[in-house]
Amino acid sequence: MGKMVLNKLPAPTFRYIGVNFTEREAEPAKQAEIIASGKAEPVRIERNTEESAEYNLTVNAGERLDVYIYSTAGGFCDIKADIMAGGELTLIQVFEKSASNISRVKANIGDSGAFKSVVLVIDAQDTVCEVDTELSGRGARFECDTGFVLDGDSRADINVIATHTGKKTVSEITARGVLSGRAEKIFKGTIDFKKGAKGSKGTESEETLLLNDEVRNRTVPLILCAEEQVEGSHGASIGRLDGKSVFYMRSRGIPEEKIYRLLANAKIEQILRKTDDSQTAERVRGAISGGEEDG
Amino acid sequence: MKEKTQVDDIDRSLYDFRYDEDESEFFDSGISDDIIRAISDEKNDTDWMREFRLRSLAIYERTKMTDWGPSIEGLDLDNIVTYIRQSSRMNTDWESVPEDIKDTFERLGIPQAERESLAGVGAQYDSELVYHNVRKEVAESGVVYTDLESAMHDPAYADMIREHFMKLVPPTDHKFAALHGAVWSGGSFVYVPRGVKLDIPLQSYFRLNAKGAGQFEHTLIILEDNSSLHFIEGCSAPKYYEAGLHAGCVELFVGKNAKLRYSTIENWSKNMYNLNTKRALVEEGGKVEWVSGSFGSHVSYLYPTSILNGRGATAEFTGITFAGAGQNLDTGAKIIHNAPDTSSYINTKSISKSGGISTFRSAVTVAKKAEGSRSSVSCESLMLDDISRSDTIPVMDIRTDKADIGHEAKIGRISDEAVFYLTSRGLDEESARAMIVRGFADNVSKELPLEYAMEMNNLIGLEMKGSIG
Repeated sequence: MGKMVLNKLPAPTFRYIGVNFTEREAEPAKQAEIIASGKAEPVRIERNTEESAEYNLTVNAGERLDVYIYSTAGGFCDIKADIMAGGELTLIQVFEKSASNISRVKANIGDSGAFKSVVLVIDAQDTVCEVDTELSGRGARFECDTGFVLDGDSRADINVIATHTGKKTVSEITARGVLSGRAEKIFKGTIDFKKGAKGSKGTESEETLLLNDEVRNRTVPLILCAEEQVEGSHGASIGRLDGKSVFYMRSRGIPEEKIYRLLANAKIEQILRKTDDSQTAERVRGAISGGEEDG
Repeated sequence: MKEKTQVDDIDRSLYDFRYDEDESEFFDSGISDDIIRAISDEKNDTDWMREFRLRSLAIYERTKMTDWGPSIEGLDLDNIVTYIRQSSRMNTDWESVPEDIKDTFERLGIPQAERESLAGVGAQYDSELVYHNVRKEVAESGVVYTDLESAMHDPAYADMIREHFMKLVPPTDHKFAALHGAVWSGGSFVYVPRGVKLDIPLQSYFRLNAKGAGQFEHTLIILEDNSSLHFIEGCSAPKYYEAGLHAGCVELFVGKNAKLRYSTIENWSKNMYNLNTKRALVEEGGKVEWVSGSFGSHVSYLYPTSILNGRGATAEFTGITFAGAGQNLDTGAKIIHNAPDTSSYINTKSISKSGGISTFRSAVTVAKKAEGSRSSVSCESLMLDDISRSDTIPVMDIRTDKADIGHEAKIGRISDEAVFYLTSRGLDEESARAMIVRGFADNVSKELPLEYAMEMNNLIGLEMKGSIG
């Protein structure tokens, strides 16, 4: 097993912050599994061994594909996705109480295609996840929601890249979650407008609640722009709960610890509602409440 | 017929003049033990400074070039002259300054500004300060404004300088900090005693006249508790085809409840590599305000750093960067919250045009002990054509839950609706676009001293001329 450089920041920055890349031990899978669109039901994959896996997802023109990957044992998961004209891919990855997860997604979206990616990290020990998407077709859309609930010594390093090469493409990157215990999180989100991506738009936002003074949060929102006719924006809010919300809930008799947990859950619920998949929602809610009992 | 103008570059005729130099006064190009010892001899360095320079050289030799910013491949350090001896020594009487140097600064308007609106002026020409003066009433209040080298040999300040020199920016910080430690020359020393508040600014002006040379001035400012100061720094150079290097260093020590505003208008010529390091240490209740305009140089790496070291310390950074043809300007700020209840505010604007590259880069670090701290970062970028580039690369590193951190960034172009509105009110398109860009830069220009704000507006007007094809 060799060391692999992962989650490279598309434009590196000050070395002392330690966000330019990360390294983990990993080895590629021996064989790739091909999953194509045209299935009546979503494809659900339970990854309960540490064995490396490679999935090639193909979404044919005008078709859709829904893939759910639940990782409970860690390991390296390498995903390539090709979304053809008018195709739609939903890829939901859930990382639960596993030891060491590495996930790398490389996607390409054709004309008017859509890629919806959801990454949920619920108290997994060590997660390195990258979703690197090129919006090459005219009118391609990319939406990436990341949710995280990290406690204890958990750490997560997430790298989302939206590269706009096609005209009138749209990307939306969001990250929401809470850190408690001694958890560490790095979220890197990049909107990269290449020359020629006229009429494209990219937005990025992050809301991170910090619940303990042992946590460490690093946020790296990049907008790279080589095209005049584009619009890009980013907003981030990091810190504790605002005093008014805490006061209101306390005045309703809810103890402070419970308030924080409720609001943390609310952040994940926002993402679960968008996924519109009861099976995933139940599973994630179960994982979060399990964390509560432990905590 | 509508006039179509084409301006390839900012009209730099104000800055773009030069005088011949006597090359026998140039030290050898490149960096070596012998050159460093010769600089020490020339300056009659104390033993500790002589050792400091040699130690910095050793650090320089073993430190790698940075690998994350704009390319500096065009800079051949073996061809840079690190020290140029001046034919005359530092003067406090303007009339005693050599004629060609005096003429340079007269043309830049420095003596006039001194007469009209400054508490004191320093002027550096190539490697050495050539003029330093401070108003009588300012000197009587105990304010010291002199060249760093004289102060270093003055028993009244020698220990103070040794205690502070390159303590905020140690030679180990990066390769060009090490180079600075080895070859530094010139620069100002300012000391403001406890409780003294200067109402009018001090200004240092740095002029690099020689071709293929480097300027390595060191500015050290110490504000005692409850004092205040506005310090203005201006830089320019004539245009040569050979690369020039500016690797200065600024160290600011802001005492308890003291306030320092540090304004810079950097307008180096477009053959310059501007690799400058600026850092401030702010104690309890103190405040540092950086106002920074970056218009010149071929390549810039510039990120003034504020270390908020005492409870309630504050930093504000207001900056504008305008990158035109042939320029790659990587600018921004760094803030380190290292004490409770500290606050910081970064507000920047960048404009890219005619193939220029503008990068906003920042880092906000909140240490575990900085409970109750707040930080807000706002950066906006404007692309004026599709051959330029504009990047924003901010980082936030937060290690306490008791902090409130906000960040927003926007990138875009001049909206067609705004141009349509203004043209429907009788403005031609070029004037409308220039007005929108001035409005975009307004919250930065209003922080600048008036003459610099006017200069910035003129620069924007010139850059916008010919922008409509």
